[in-house]
Amino acid sequence: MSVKPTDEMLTAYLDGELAAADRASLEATMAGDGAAANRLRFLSHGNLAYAEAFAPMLDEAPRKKLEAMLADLSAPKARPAAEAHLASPRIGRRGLIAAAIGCLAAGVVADRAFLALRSSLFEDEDAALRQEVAEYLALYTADSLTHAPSSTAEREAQLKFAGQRLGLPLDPAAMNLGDLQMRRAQILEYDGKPLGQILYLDPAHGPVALCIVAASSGAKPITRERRGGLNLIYWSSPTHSFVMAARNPMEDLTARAEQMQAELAGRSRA
Amino acid sequence: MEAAIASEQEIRTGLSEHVARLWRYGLTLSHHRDTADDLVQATCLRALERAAQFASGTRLDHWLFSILHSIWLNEVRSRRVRQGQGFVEAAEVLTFDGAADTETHILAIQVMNHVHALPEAQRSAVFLCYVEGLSYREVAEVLQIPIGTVMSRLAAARARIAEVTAPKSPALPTREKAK
Repeated sequence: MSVKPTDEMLTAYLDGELAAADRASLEATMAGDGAAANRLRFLSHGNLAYAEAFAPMLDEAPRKKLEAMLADLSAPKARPAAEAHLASPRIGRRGLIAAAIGCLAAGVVADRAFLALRSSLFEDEDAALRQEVAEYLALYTADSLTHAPSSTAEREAQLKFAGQRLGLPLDPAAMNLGDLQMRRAQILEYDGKPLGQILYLDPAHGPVALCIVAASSGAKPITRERRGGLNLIYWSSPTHSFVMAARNPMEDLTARAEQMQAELAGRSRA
Repeated sequence: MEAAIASEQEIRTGLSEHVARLWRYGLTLSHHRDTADDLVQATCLRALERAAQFASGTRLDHWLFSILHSIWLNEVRSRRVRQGQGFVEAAEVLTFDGAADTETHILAIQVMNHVHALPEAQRSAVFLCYVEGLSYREVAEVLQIPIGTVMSRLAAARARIAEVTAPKSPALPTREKAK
């Protein structure tokens, strides 16, 4: 008594991936099952000259450029782990810009396997986060904030929501960053955890981002670094990690970060 | 360490040898030349960093595909997902410099269009299996999925492509998508 062959079995048969015994039994089934044989014939129309069709694509590869890039890669030991996160700190890679436009992110279904794998990829999670923030912000321009909500009430609501998700009351302290008004607050996701992103616009230097994620690695003082062409200031409270990133001069950004750190200190309700 | 240094050189040589194939896979996944460039670069860096993890005597090209795929899945594509962004410009992926007028090229472009129209999970399985010639087991290892999943992705892809390429005839079976 034979079972109706599935598409998987028929496909494996066509691909020569069935073991001899399965192959024989499937052939026996098909001999007496016209529908199965027809289905096999149908699926065989998926046999196309794939390898030949894709061969010219190899010639399209920018071989010289890639070889040069490879030659430029220094011995890996010299690089901090997080630099590997995405190879180059170059700004303006069109592929990623296309991806980053429309940055209004909301509910995201995170693939559990991805998260598990991802967390095994980085020894220094914090640096990975900063790299992510820098790469992301590098793609922002003043135009990215053009359609940010203009009403105060709306922005307050965004801030309140972000604060709730992060377990850190943000309003009204984060409504202003020195003389800069908040333009948008949103929740993104990082490693399955809510990542708060609060954006300000500096008329002289472009967007300023304050990113916040819940963290339990303990309080850390303000540290400064340059990453991906941006200035970054980061610090941690006992409950959260903060990264401020912008093209503003380091001194200016540090002053703003210190002010924000003071404003948010001791606010956690987590 | 001696061994690590030796394997780093081995990886470098392998990367150089397979760089075009990696790029092609990056382009097939991302539909963007620039993203493909970035994927290859990130793959090179990651592979060099992990040179010590490569098991000598196994397939270096498969190992590299696997790295590229996981970078795509975990770092690059996820941003798009996170940002609610779909894939764009699928149609403009390939331009054969003025060579598209021969019948061979027209056929090739048709085949590529069929593949590019597939959902990503099916596309990567089809690419690795039918373009790169990996076995089901090898595809499963590269994509880090069970072999049964490889089978169902390929079967679904085949059915989908056959829908388009099979000669239309009333005698054809119209069985529902066999699960």
